[in-house]
Amino acid sequence: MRSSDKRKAGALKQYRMVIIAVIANLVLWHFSPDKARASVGSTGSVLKEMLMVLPPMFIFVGLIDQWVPREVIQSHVGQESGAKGMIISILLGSVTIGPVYAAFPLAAMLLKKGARVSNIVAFLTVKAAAEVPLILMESKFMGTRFALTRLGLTFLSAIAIGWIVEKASMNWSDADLGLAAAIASQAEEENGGLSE
Amino acid sequence: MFGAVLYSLAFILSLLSWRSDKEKTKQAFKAAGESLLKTLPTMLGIVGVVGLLLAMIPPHWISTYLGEQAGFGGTAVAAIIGAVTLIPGLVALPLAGSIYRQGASTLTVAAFISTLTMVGLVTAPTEVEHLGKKMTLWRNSLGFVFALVIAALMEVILR
Repeated sequence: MRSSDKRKAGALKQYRMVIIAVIANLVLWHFSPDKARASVGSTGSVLKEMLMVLPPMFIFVGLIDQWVPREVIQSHVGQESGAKGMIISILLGSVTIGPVYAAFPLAAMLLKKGARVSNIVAFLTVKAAAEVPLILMESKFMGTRFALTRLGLTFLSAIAIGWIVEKASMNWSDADLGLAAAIASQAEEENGGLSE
Repeated sequence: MFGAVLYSLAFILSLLSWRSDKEKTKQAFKAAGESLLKTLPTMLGIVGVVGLLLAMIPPHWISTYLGEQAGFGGTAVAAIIGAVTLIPGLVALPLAGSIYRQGASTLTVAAFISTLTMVGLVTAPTEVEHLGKKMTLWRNSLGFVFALVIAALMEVILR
């Protein structure tokens, strides 16, 4: 009885954003049915985009976690990877397409596998702000000069942000880094168990 | 189209993985399924909030307000809208282009695009789930500061 109550409370907390969104839509419907219809329509199209990207992305993350050894991640984007690691991270960020929220689980998995904090933060920043499709579209609507200037400045900012976050993270615990919650941690534990 | 490519790629890689090592593939799928289930409630919430924001802040409202409003007020509004909302590039860039042509400054348009992409208030809950509170807070705050720096530099460079 008790545990099911707890589970219900947990689900309520987990879905609080959904509940708020539903209530807000109902309120909006009361005042302006047109806007509510537009809201539900946008929700539908964003949901579609999410369903197109997220499940395969999680499968990629799961497979990379299983097949790419820790040493490979460490030597390419780890503590000692230096400028090469930063360049790889930035390039990876600009060619990884899809919405930024799809890159969070990938970033968490790479961190857990020994990637350097500065590299992963730079990767996420470039991924969000300077991915190739975005720059191409920006050239079309804002002009090439505008797009390329922003691209260059974004690369520099990504390096700076990565460096500052890494400095700040020196005294964080693993839990602060989200490593405890890293999606594939359980898989690795189980995998470690199997190899013994 | 993009989704079809991703799903096919995931399918092919899974098949290859399955043929080489069934156990590893099972583990990969288990991890994928668990993390998908874990992140689903937040994702659905984000979808709902994004829909509401897009409906409440219609594109033409942004373009009239920022296009006519020259000066610092317009830039501040652009930066805040950019930081708070999650507008897909397909909607945001044509919008930014039209504001630009209507006479908004480089500063305002660059601030809008930069905060839109570098700061994600709406996606912060998922970011916290995967990367932790501190990382999310630092990354997004610095993203906001640097987005403004980028905008200011662009105003100077592209003058």
